[in-house]
Amino acid sequence: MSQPILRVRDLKMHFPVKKGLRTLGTVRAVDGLSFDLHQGETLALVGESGCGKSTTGRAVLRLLEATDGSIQFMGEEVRQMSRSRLFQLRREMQIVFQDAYSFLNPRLPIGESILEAMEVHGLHTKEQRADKLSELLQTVGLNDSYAARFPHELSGGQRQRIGIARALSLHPKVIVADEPVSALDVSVQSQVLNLFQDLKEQFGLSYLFISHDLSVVRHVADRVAVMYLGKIVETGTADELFENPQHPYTQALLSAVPQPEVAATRERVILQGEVPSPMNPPSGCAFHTRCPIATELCRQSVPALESTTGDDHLVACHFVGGEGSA
Amino acid sequence: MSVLLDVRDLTVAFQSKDKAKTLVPALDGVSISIGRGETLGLVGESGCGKTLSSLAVMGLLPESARVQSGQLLFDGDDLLHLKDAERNKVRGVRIGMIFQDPMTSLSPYYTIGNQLMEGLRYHMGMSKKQAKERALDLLQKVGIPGPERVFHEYPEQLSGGMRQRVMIAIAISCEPDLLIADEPTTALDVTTQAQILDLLAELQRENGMSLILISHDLGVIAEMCSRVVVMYAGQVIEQSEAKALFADPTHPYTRALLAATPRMTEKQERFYQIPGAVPAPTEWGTGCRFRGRCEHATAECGEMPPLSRLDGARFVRCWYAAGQTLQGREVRA
Repeated sequence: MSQPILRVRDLKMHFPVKKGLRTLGTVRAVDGLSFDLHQGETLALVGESGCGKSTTGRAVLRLLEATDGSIQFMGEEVRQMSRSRLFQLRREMQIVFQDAYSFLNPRLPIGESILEAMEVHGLHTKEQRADKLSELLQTVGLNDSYAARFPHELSGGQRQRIGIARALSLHPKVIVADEPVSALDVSVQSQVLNLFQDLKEQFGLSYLFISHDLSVVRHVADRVAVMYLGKIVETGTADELFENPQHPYTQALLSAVPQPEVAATRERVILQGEVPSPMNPPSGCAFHTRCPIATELCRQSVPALESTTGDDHLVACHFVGGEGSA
Repeated sequence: MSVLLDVRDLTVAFQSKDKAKTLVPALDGVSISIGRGETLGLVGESGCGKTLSSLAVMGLLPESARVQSGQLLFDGDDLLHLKDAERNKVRGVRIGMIFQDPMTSLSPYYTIGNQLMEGLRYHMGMSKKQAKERALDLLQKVGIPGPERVFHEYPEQLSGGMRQRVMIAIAISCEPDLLIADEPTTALDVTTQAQILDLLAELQRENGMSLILISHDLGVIAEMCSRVVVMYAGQVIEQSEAKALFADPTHPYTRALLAATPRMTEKQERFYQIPGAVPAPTEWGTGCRFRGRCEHATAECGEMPPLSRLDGARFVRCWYAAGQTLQGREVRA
């Protein structure tokens, strides 16, 4: 395959927890993460709250400074970019948040917010920008009249479209979408998801799609990485991962998603307990405290993320394919 | 199954605060009934009136809300006409309620134990000692590890899932006949959601209480409920046994909603898209409120269809769906 547009290796994000001047410990939000994102591909990062998926998204854009590891954008190390190069990078990689309310200026008509982004980056002349604005609004399914409205005058779905329009205004290659449809009602969610799909085809975009909603991920992702306590526990193509999940955590996660149909019987793995604190992650395999098949081996040694079948379906579990398997 | 709660023709409007005191309708002739021991699902998108209906039952409507007509018959008594003292014997005792975000219902200033004991002492007249014993029992029952420790903790010390368990413990503390759960798992992760749904189902089986589950998540509803009420723009538009509803929805809105819901079992290249948006109350007009977005809409839809019975427990508010079924019957006959 061609060179990945984004290549992340052994990324670590550690946050010190301080009380006054004393350091109480370290939260290992992301702890040794590696993945590739290819041109025109959607990679979904999934997992439950606190697994480090959003932190990863922010670290990739250098909105947060990584503690360790490497982030390469088209072969160039993001962590070593100068301020001016980083400024350019932000054009090429954009982020769309869960609620566009959080970044739109409440006192600015939304048209101005979109124009501002282009102006700051010195794109086009003033007249061209105005044309571009109406073109962008049209692309995301809104008409010109919306440019004069304020964020509070829009519905959640419309605000999300504005978030997307603003990201698109800079012609990015990569869009980090952090829970982009989580706050939306089903009927609006489907509209926005279709828009994401259309834009991907139209502009050849690559998405790093961060979501907790596995039903949504099933449809938008080409590949999926499942995270637990700052690490990837399983990754593979979406088809492979959803049809043939290997890691006990992935299996439990998938079985816990309620489906809109009344089935006669459904096999559900209900995990006991809660996700441990990332400040004191368990020894060995971090999932062993909740895993139905954990043994002494899992308490002691960290399983490597390895291919079990020789393809790119990787699993970090002693009991899948590897040494400990029965 | 005898009827426990019978909401009849409930119409609620909000009064604006300015001089004009305009009334904006919110609920329009909503009728919902639930039997003893039944689990009823209430679904719909934001603003359809599902939460408002339950708040009306609890007597928790916002100050600006005006009940214009209707009855709320609980075990034969109209909750709308009870005196405060009588209502307090129902609310929190015979009807419990839990909300989406436990942090807004739990006080940050009191320990979990204190908040659990409050209801027991006030409603059940227990002594401090009795209430403490019962509170510890309840914490155990809702699956909180180390009840003794949690009893002395504050809400902020607990995780979201644990807080929701505490809320459930409080809601069931007086052994209610009816529990209303408003989006109880929306703020939780899926694995925690599975735990909480399991707990609710178990408590319901054990205590034989009725459960109204309000959710926008059709998956949660399908998993938990035996009967479902679908709401749209302040009205009930379809009502059916869960099995029939999910296998064969009749109202075009229910169909569209199900089609737009992503499923994990099959991959769709594109999602079914419902055109347009839910109309605001000022745009409701006189006809069917879904007609602007409906592919089957005709001139006839300019007149509001009644909620008509199709068969057995199945009701639909749609000229087209009702007509289709009747036609189908004629053909079969």
